[in-house]
Amino acid sequence: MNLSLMLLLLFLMTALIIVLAVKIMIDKKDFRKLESQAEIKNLKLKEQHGKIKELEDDLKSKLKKARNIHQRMLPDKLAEPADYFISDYYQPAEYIGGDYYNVFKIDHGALDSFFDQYLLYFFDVSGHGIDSTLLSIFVNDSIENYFKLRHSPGEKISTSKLMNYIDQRYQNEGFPDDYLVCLFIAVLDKKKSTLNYSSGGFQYPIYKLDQEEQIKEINIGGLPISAALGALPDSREEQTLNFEKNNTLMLSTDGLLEQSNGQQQYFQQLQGILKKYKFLPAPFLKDLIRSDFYKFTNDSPGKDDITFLLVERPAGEIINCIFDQENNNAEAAEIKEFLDQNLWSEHPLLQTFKDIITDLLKNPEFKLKIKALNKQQLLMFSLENLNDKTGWDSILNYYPDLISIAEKDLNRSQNGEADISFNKKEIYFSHTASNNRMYLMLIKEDDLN
Amino acid sequence: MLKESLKLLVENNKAVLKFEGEVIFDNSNQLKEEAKQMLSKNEGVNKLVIDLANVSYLDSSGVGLILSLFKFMRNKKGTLAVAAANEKIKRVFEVTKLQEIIPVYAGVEEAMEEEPV
Repeated sequence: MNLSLMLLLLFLMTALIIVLAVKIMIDKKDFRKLESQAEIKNLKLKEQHGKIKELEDDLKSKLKKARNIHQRMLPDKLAEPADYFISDYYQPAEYIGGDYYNVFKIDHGALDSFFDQYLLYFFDVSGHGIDSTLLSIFVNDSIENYFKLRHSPGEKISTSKLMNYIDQRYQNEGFPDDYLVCLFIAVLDKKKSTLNYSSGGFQYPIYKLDQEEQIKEINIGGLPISAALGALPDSREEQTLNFEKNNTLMLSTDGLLEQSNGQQQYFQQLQGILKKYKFLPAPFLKDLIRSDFYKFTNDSPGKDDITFLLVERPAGEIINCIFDQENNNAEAAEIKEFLDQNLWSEHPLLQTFKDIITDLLKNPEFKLKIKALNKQQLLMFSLENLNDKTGWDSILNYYPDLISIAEKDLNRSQNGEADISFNKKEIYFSHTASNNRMYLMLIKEDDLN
Repeated sequence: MLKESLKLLVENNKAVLKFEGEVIFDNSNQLKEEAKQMLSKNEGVNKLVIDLANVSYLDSSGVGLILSLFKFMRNKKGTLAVAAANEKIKRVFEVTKLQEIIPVYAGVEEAMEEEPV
């Protein structure tokens, strides 16, 4: 090989090395550039994630606040006529819902003794967001306004006209077309033993339980209140139900009844429960339905708010008294006499039951509102501490064997219904959600169900 | 419910809107927006039939969606009807008396043949 060829090869190799070196440098530069771009994108992504998290937290915080507002709106205590028991249950959906209910005594001023009436209502607004809470506030406000502005003491209350008033106000507010309000409004007239009601939008029935007869399913239905439909005056007629002794009404928004467990809706199971356990007083029937429902859903929270009310007009003897230090002798004697009724004095747990009540009566911090029910199958005491809401723990600590159906893991019969045997060997207790009322129950006859 | 399961079939001035699955709170808002968008692209439609043959369940938000489409059609001087609903959904329309305002037909063809009032 001659020298010139070798020089040419050397030159070519040097050139190749230089080209490769330049290429590597360029690639490295590109790589750094890409790396830097990736870092920038990463930073931007982190920033976006941060913003999304911030928005999520903000939304959750707003939903929490709205949920608190909604919870605070719900009545702490429902007005309860002396010879009735009213029990309520409310569990909001995952975020917040739009269910609401209330019972209050209608003010007839000086004519109160002629009109012993209570307004009872519940409603469900579609959706579960902040909007639904605001809509709930609006509907509730409309009902309260009606009684402040449109109702005069002594005047007959038409639930149909009240519906018209709410509908008209709703139309004036310009709510979106796809929102709707399902509403049930009733006047419980104690003098006439009737419940006059108007309803709109509910798909599911209410139930009338009669101890002597079959359960009656009442389709309340009616047109919902909606901006898409416009005002529909007088389309939701007033209906009348007789509400005699021994009757219980089960009222519910759709959430409880339409809940599915993948195989069936709770609606299909509830009737069996009501039929089997209709002898229970409202507070205990409420606990049983609650337990049965969560067993049905396998403890998962419902997609919708779960709201139901039980309004019971029991048969049997009822005494009502307020027990405080000023009148303790007279009231204590009445309660003692009530407890000593010889009809069932041989009950094995009567003494324990008496001890619990007597202990409560001795407590000077308690101003107790007592309502006692004595009927053929059972005895129940409703105890409300008018001074404090947290006074029951000491009783529960001192009598740990008291049975709560709400906390009981229910067995099921072959057809899927709750299977619990109420018996003479237990004292059952229940309390309201706000804990202001406690109930104690003693069963007099075994095998009631 | 997936987007592709919402279908609008247009024939002259009539249209069939077909839903599938459950129409509930979780999907009703999205379905409403999509349905209105589809209908806005077909301005000549003055009769809309909602085909519920493949809908198993409507909750109150689902009813709200139908009411919203009812108002949408009414605003453009059109009509809306519901067809092929299962027994459960028919019962909703019956109990809430919505069938007095929105006609409910056994089948889509029957609903399409009926002349708008």
